[in-house]
Amino acid sequence: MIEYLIFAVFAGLLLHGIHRKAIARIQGRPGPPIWQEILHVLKFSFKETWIPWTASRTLFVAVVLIAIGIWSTALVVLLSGESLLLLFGVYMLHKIVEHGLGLSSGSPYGKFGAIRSVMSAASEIPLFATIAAVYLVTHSLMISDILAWQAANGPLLLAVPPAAAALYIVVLAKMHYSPFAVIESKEIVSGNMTEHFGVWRAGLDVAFGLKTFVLLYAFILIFIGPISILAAAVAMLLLLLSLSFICATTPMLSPFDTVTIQIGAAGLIVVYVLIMGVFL
Amino acid sequence: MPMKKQNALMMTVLSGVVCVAASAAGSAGLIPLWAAAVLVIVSFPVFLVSLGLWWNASEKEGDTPFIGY
Repeated sequence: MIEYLIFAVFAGLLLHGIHRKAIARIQGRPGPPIWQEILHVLKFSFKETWIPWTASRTLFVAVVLIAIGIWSTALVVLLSGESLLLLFGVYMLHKIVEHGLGLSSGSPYGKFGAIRSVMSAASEIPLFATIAAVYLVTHSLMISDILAWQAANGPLLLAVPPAAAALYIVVLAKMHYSPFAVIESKEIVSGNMTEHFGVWRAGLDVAFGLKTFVLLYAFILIFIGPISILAAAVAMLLLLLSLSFICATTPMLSPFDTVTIQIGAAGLIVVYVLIMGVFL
Repeated sequence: MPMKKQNALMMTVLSGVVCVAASAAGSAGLIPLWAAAVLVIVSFPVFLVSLGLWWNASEKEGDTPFIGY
């Protein structure tokens, strides 16, 4: 089990590096090497580390541990084919982590990030539409059952494309440099992560690497189905590059535009799910 | 107050051992998989953070900051 976690951490950090490289190339810049995020984690873990005076000491440290813990849980849930609800429960906990991260330091930039994280909870709404659509088609929320359904009937991506679009928006919202990433927008320095430096930042980078790996792999498992490890890696890479393209070409939205677009998209998908549930 | 290097090392070793032992015991069927998962999920973050704190912890007193003439 620990071997999967370590693999996912390195793969997730490498995916972050590829994301940054792809964005840079699309924008006509050379960009950092793709292993830069792994080097960042090592660099931060060797930096001098302390807890700011203004911070809530317990929350400041605990939030880093919880961030790594919840995405480790998500990976285990995914690999063991457990319920989709557990996986999406982790998404909700992640929102609390984002909020606690910003509030714990006492920094005004962190607090702005924390407030924006609550406001951008709208990004989770498409998740419910995804869950509903997947359940209506497969009659189960167990990932193992969803994989079995796809093995027999083909990818869910073809059966319920709007649900895949909904999850795609959710994954996009969670990516670094995303048009929806208002919580870490540069006008508030690094947003809710501003005061987490040194070992704390290294821990957060590990958690966010795990998060990226889990989100991409979950999308592949839920909407493409059971495929070989190599095919899954290629599919994850293609999915990531499509996200990188959007991040590279779309400026960061203002917080209210972020909420409007996400609720608008969620509303359309909810209508689709209702029609599906009533008429099909 | 910064954590002592010795304490950080102890936490690193302890959480690392729990991580590896739980993972191995789960794979070998000695403990249920869910129990192994819980132990790994709890000890893995502690291991990572305490490893970093161990690397960072200084064994000597820090410099006295300049407080003006």
